[in-house]
Amino acid sequence: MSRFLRISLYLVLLAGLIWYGRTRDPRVTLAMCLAEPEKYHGTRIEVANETIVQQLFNDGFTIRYLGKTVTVIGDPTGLRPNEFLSMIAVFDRSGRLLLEKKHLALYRRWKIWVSVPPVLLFLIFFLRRYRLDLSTLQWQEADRA
Amino acid sequence: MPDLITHSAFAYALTRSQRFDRFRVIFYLGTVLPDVITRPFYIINPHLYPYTVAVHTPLFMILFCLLAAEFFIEPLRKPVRLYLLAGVFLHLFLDFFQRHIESGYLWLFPFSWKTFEIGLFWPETPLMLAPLWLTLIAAYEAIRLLRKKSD
Ligand SMILES: [Zn+2]
Repeated sequence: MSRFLRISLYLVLLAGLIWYGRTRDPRVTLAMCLAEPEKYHGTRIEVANETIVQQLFNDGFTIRYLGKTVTVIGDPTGLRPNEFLSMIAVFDRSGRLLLEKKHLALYRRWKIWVSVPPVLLFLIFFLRRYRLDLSTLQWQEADRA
Repeated sequence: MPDLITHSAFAYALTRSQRFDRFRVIFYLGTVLPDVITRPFYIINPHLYPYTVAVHTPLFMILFCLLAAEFFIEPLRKPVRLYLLAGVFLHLFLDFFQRHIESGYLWLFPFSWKTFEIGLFWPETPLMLAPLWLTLIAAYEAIRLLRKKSD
């Protein structure tokens, strides 16, 4: 098989997997619940995906999820505003969530930032070691080019 | 995912042998690859998350490594495939020890949506040990440099 065909085949397969993951995921998300509250009333869901704690109250709190503010009824102990949160909750047709369990990802912002330097470092190592031949779009070792 | 310093530190520790000299950087890139091609997209725009569901999975990563190797000259493709995949599988191996509030990684995607993991630590926990890994790497490199100078 030629290189062009192999590349095309891999790209089609990768795109197919992305499409399958996008359209066939059986997990119910909060976005789906908010779009059709009656249909998903009483559904137990996992809420994560960059969800951030907004405001704390005695009997609950609000979260920022995909640009929307959602009220959660449940124990806010241990939560901090502006931190990332994942949780299991039951969706109510009113658009609110009844909390079952929660995890505050307290150092997630740090984790994201400390993950950047290793990637940059490896890219520098790579660019020092390999050269791209633009006419064939193939990398080769710089010291053997 | 543990932070990428933790992932990188494990890759560093495993590739001290001279056999890795030529393709070590490919192994390093493999060890950060599953997160590099997923996290930035949905961290910057959480609406993109559904498009990344397939990406942090073994099958997608295998195909992605095969694709990446095609962008190297013919004699390098086989070692690039090998080292990149080895790095990716080290990454996935470490991720396997994590815990999530419920659903974890989709190891058998697209054949199954079942998730399972050892559940030893939360994704943010290894960050506490990152300074230790960095200190150990710095100490090792300093000793190596001193030895080289004295030779
Ligand atoms: Zn990961």
